[in-house]
Amino acid sequence: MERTETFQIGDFCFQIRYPKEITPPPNFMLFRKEGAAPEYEYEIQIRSDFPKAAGRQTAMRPDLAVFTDGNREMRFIGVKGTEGYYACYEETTDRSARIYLDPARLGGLNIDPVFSSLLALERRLILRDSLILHCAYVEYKGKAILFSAPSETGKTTQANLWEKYRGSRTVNGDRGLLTRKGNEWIVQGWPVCGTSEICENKTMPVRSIVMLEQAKEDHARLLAKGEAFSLLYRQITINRWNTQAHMYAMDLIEDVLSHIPVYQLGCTISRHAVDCLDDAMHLSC
Amino acid sequence: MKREYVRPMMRGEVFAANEYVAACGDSGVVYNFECNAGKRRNSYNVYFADGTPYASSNDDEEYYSRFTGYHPCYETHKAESDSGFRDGYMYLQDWWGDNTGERIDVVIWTEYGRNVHCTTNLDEDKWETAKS
Amino acid sequence: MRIVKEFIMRTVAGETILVPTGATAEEFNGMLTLTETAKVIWENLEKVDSLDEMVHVLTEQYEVDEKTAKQDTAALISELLRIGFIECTKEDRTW
Repeated sequence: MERTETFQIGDFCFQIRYPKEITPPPNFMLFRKEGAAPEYEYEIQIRSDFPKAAGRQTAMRPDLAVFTDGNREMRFIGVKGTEGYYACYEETTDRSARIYLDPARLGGLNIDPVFSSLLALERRLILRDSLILHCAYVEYKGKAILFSAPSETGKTTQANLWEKYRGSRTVNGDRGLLTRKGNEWIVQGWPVCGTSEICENKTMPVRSIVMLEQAKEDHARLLAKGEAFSLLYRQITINRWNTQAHMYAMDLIEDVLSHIPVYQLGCTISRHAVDCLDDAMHLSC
Repeated sequence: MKREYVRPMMRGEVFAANEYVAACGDSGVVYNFECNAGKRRNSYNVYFADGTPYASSNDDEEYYSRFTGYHPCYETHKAESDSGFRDGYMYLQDWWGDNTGERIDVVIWTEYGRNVHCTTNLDEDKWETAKS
Repeated sequence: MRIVKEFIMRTVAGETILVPTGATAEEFNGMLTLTETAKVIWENLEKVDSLDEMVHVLTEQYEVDEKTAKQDTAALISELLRIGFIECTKEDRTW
């Protein structure tokens, strides 16, 4: 027996048909949108033998193999450090894809990133002018501050400091979906939140992006677009094997820089880091 | 009116790219990485397996490579498995920073391109893990 | 010369970067930052037929003597050849 649910992530509205043995994780279910008209259909099947790869191999990563046939992608999805693939994703039309799951590896599906990895979301979202940014998505006075940096730099720490000393709220501790809306950029919720365990489906305008780095003394400055570009590029999910999407992502990043101030914060773990950034953001408004 | 000339240079930076929504989030395996390649008093030029200089004072490589040299600190660091491990090799630097002596094969831990640590323990399967 | 790896070059507010793409994204994880003159060389690599021609492109646009431009350009070109980003197309391997 099967279930069919409709979801919306960013502006992407889609339907998933899946066997009853599978349950999307709770954070994914926050993005359910009953009654909405889907523009894409995913069908999940449990099947022990995956179809053969079709087309040309366009990417080989430790946990992903991608084959491209015309403009259809096929992905074999695994986990770093474990052999074999737990799923096979196959685009069937421009608006549909089928996903095959190895019955021996269904256990991990109730984990946010495992379930989300099945849907090639970044591939759909770039077409809707959305970029997945690695950041702590923080709400402050009705707008978002996005603290971005490589892992283990201290995004969650800064987000917590802002909560403590400025009364902000963390919407998602690991990613936010940056979306262009006409002449504005907004940030939307994302169904994966990493170890932060904070995940909400909320949309709001972006106040600023802050690129973090650990430092002995706090210092904050507004970055020039050229400097901001390469720092921001590294924290955005881009299918680099797909040059067209890659170039478009870079166009979008440039557009972000034309509309949103990007700061660099060299920070300690202290209230002073919060004050320092707050001052810098006010000075340039 | 001609423009001011700056030497043509390309500086490379390695970092772990986010390419797709993956099952494994940011942390996979964490290794106890001992930075032990070579002697503490010496400096070495470090290269990735394809020959790209990563830490080098060897002629023009100094301008293209990320760092000017490496020496082991003999400390053990916690290194996430996806924070930039690369196969490579190194050479002892002579007085002028050029390569001298025998090639030493190493595994380089780049900390997403922010640092250079090397180990002569090439068998990744035998590395100690800090947590799973 | 021919560029044999796939890159996207972008200049944003005066800063030029080169990022690997397509199949090359599998080989390199990262990006290159180019000085303005390196960008000019990269853009003209496949358009000129010799080192001297490339030097001429530089000396036309920049305050630099031919000897320095030639030395610097040759150094960059050899490095690009060594790391496999470009290949000689001329039979005599001079360009």
